[in-house]
Amino acid sequence: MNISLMGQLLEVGSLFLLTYTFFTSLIYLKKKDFQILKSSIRSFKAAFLYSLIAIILLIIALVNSDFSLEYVASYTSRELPLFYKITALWAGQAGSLLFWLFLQLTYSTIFLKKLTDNKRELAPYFLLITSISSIFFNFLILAFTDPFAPLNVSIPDGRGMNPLLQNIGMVFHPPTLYLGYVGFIVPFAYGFSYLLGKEEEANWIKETRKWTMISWIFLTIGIILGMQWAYVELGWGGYWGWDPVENASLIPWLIATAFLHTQILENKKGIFKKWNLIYILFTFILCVFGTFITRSGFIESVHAFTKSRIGYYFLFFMIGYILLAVLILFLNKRKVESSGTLKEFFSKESFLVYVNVVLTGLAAVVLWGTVYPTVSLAFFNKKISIKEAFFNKASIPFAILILVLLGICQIFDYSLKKRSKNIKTTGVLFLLSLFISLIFFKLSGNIKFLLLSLSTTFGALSLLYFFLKETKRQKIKFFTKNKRASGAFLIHMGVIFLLVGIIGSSFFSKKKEFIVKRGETFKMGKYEFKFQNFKMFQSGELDIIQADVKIYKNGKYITTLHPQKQFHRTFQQPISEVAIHMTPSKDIYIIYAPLDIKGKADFQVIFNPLIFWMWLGGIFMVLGGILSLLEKEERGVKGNG
Amino acid sequence: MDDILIFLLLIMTILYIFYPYFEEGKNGNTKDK
Repeated sequence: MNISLMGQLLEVGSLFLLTYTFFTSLIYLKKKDFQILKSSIRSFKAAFLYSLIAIILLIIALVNSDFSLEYVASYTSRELPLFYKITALWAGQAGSLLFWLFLQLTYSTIFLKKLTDNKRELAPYFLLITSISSIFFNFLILAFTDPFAPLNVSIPDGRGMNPLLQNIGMVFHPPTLYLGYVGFIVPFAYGFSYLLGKEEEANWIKETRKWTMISWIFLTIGIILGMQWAYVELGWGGYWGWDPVENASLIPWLIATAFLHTQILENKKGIFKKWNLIYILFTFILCVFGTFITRSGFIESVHAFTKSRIGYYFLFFMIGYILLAVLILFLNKRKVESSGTLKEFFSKESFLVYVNVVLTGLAAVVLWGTVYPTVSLAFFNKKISIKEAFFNKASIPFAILILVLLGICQIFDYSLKKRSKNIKTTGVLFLLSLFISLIFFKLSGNIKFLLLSLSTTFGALSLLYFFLKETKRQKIKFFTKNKRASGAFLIHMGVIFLLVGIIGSSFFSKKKEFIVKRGETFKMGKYEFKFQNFKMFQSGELDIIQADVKIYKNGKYITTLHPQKQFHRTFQQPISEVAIHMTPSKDIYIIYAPLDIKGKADFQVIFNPLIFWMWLGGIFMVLGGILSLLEKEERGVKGNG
Repeated sequence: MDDILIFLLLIMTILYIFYPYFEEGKNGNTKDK
């Protein structure tokens, strides 16, 4: 079978089908002939099927090392292990965009089924919005970056995959991130449908919350896995470098998180309707912005693989959607008028709004820091680079505010009757936190650290208070019956753990470099390291030098680590495969660089305190999200924010 | 082989998409109210 031809035909076919969907949904809105809508839906489903077959064909080509496709030759080689061959689907731009299109059509088709079962009149609007977006991606694939483009010369082997990408992270990080990004198409298109069609608000907010949560969970997994991957693979001891592409995933995450907080207000009080809608529309637009950054080379980044014209199309697409959103919102503004206002400024409701404001503020700062170097170069002809230090410094006050608000929201009840009791509890917990953090303060005389540890302790104590209060009131039912509140509780616990890890590793990380010969030992703190031996061997496409380092604490043997230096045959740059010994109190992180063949070597040892809690926090956040989705019966959130 | 596959895919897609136009609505009325 000629895979190239088949693949291209499927792409052309799905473009036709999507265009047909677009026009038939428009015609349906005018004529209201149900047969047209039915045909339109079928065409959309067929486009989904086409993209599914295209993905399967591409995977077959990748697995069989079919180098008649340029894409397969560029990102794989015969010796590449099977699962990396499959992951090559998202290793390059062409495959990633096809994967995006496929996911977008999958999500939309699933939601469409739900829509056509219950609310047929919303389907044409939903089809219109999703087909525009899908046509755009399909067009890009066909016009600029086709994974099925043939390679006209015959070659014995492919170029292989970038060794940095050959990590278990490659299997899960890109697809979960994409599942997160693309998933926001559902709330986005549903938001438009809600504005344009006839839909009950309660339904809208319920479904949107659910689908936003699903994407939020995937995005959280994607971001945490990305941090983990950077930590183990890049060999600099860090996990977050405020790289534009990292920021581009954080910004929609923050906005979606903000939405998940204020949707509670719409659900309970019928306020902040416009706000919520704008947030949900912008989340998806910001996700497209993320892809724009990765794909355009518009902003310098370690992730931006290519500089191509494609970026400008993304820019037009985003601007188009923003204008469309503003226009439709303006024309239908009555529909999203709030049925009341926020009267109290010192109540649980208003604290949720403050959470939203702080998260948005942080998103805005990160966005500005990300695009400012480009803006400055374009408009003022000045080359500026914004370093990590700016983001670290700017995000601290936001982190403090988020933690304080997180705490207050646990203490306050929705009812105003208990307000004075709530204020008293806040005061007591705050004083207790101050006392505890002053003990921590002895560890480091840093004022930023004092404020951060104070707010983290306050957040943690408030969560504990909330937990005790709820379990006393509801006993075990808290986790079994009220899944939404208990899910939120787990997520907030996760946030605290995550910040404990970030604060610990940022303030107390220690790094030391040692140059030693084989058999020698070196010391750092209470730990002694013995460079026992080293060996050279081959694994697939890699030549590997591996060191055996024995670790002792106070003279007692703990473990042996095996850091490596890997040399790839096709790619020039050698990579450090770091070795990590993880414990709840600290990570011992070793980077190895052989200096000569006799065994002289350079070891960098990093002590990263509390990193363990960061990963645990990530797990809590994801589990909490899943738990909160399990609640079937719709009701207002009691207790938690 | 390729030609047959492409032909089949095309025919099936066309039949699938245009089938609703040949389907009778309830009581002959296809308009949505």
